[in-house]
Amino acid sequence: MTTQPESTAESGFTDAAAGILFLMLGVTALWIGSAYEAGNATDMGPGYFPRLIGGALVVFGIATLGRGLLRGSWIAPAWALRPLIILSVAFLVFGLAVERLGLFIAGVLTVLVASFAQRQPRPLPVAVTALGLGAFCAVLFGYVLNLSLPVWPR
Amino acid sequence: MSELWNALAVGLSVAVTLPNLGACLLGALIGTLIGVLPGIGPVATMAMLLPITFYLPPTTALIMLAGIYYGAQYGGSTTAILMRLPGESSSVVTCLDGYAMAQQGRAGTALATAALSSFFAGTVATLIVALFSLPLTAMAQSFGPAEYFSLMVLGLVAAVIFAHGSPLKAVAMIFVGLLFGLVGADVNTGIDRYTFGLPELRDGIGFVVVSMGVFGIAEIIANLERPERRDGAVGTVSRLWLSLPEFRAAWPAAARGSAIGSLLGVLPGGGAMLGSFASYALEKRFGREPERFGRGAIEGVAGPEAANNAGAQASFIPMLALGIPGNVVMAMMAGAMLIHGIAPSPTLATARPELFWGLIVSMWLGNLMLLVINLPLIGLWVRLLKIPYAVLFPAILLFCAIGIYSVNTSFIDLVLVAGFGALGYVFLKLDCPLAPMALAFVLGPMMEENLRRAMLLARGDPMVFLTKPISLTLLVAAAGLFVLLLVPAFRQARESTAAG
Repeated sequence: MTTQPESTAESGFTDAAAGILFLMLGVTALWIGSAYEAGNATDMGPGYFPRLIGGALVVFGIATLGRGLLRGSWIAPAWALRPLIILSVAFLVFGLAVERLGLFIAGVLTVLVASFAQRQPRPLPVAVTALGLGAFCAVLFGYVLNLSLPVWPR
Repeated sequence: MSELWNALAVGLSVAVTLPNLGACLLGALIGTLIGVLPGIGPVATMAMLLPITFYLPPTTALIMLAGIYYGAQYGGSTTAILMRLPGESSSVVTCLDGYAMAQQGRAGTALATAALSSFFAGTVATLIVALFSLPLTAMAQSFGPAEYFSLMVLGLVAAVIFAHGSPLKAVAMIFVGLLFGLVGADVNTGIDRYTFGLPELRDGIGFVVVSMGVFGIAEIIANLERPERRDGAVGTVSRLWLSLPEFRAAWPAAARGSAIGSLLGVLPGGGAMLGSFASYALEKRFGREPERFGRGAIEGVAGPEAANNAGAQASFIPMLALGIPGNVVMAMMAGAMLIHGIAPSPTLATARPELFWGLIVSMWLGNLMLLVINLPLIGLWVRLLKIPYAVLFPAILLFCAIGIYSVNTSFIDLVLVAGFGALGYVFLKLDCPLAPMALAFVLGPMMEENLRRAMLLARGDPMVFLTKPISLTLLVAAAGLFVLLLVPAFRQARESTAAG
């Protein structure tokens, strides 16, 4: 991909946190997966492969966590919570709006919400961008490509 | 040999029809555009456009998607040379000598070198794809489940080795990807696994959903927290050609780059980026006067530019010939084929020759178009860079939302994309590479099925993977890659260059 995370590779925090995440995923996988029949090596049931993967995640989670604890140096990366939350909300706004309000209004609303993910959104450029992109998408997807989505409210 | 010519003739007759030429041109142009723009890569673009290709015939759709991938290689080098801004990770090395040349007033020469090297490499790689696909397809007929399983293990190990950062976390990310791949009804018993009672998840999580989340949305979040970087004055582009001595210096490097790129592109886990780094290292190590590199050596542009384009195209070989996507972009291509009801498999060349050869021939035509259209359009591409990110990111987001929603008109899919975006961002922040996860997600279901079948045939004896010669060879190769990590020189190169 085009961008790389800034290197915090030497920090114990990223290892420890990643380790806990892997561990949690592994334990959850094993816990839910325990309901699936494992079978045996010859005739594997639906639970065999999930157990292998869950087990591996637990092992690698512990290893990563352990390495993080040994490393020390607890530099936590800065988190961009604002764009994270706002972009997710923008996605949901689109999903809630498109069937009832149509592509154009849903598009404008999505762009309006998403624009607040910037540090200092400026009202006029945001409004122009929202209207422009909404109109562009309504024409392109609604009329030119004729996707089966409503363009206007119904 | 005549068989090959006949096949290429079939491909040519498919590729030069008007809709397919148009799709090829459109794909190449879109690819160049997103190659120029930092912050959006080919995978996210293909994910966005996949729903549109649904309305095209499968061959036309694949021709366009392929164009996006190799077009991005051309576009990435343009900004790398002019502004020291690699639009794609595969053009990072081009910045070194390409930008130095531009600063010396030789921007036109550097751009021409990059375009000609890419075209040369594209021609070589197209021939290699054509030549090697048939024998590989024939070989794949003798592959059983054990061989397929081992091949996928090799692919995943390669993805770990060539990923960025700690191999420990990359291996863990493989298992995360395999876990997400489990979601859905089990093929053998029909039992729902990890669906949380949601009927929408019974068919599994779509690859488009995952890749759009982790490569599209997560990237936007990561870009937004960085201060916007739009500096870099663009010098005037002088004469777009090479002098005879420059040409003499450049072409052997381009030839070597094509060879390395093709070789590394075929490897599972490989692709465009790896070859460009390897080629630069080779040119610098064995070139005359290595101290010229980084100060505008033309070989430092010709080699890596040839290699990244050759690699991009050669990475089609495992997917077309064996039905196994070797990297995330190819996984996207496989996803596009599946949407059109074509399962990637070794029988593709015999079952759908028009698609198979049409795609191969179109890649060469696309390279030719890029050579012709790209150089005159450089001014336009550079101006596009002035689009502020405040306009670009809502546009990408909206395109993603419309794209994913129109596939299944499912609200759950939008929630999932947002969820994978958040998860992808967390993983980025924790230095966990996303490419191995995405590849494992695609290969997971195939791996489980082949593992089950292989073990059933061998009556539960895991030694079957070591007693079958092809399977053993593949596993030995995978082990060899792990050993490579212990070689200090390789580790150093990996740490200083690895990406994605």
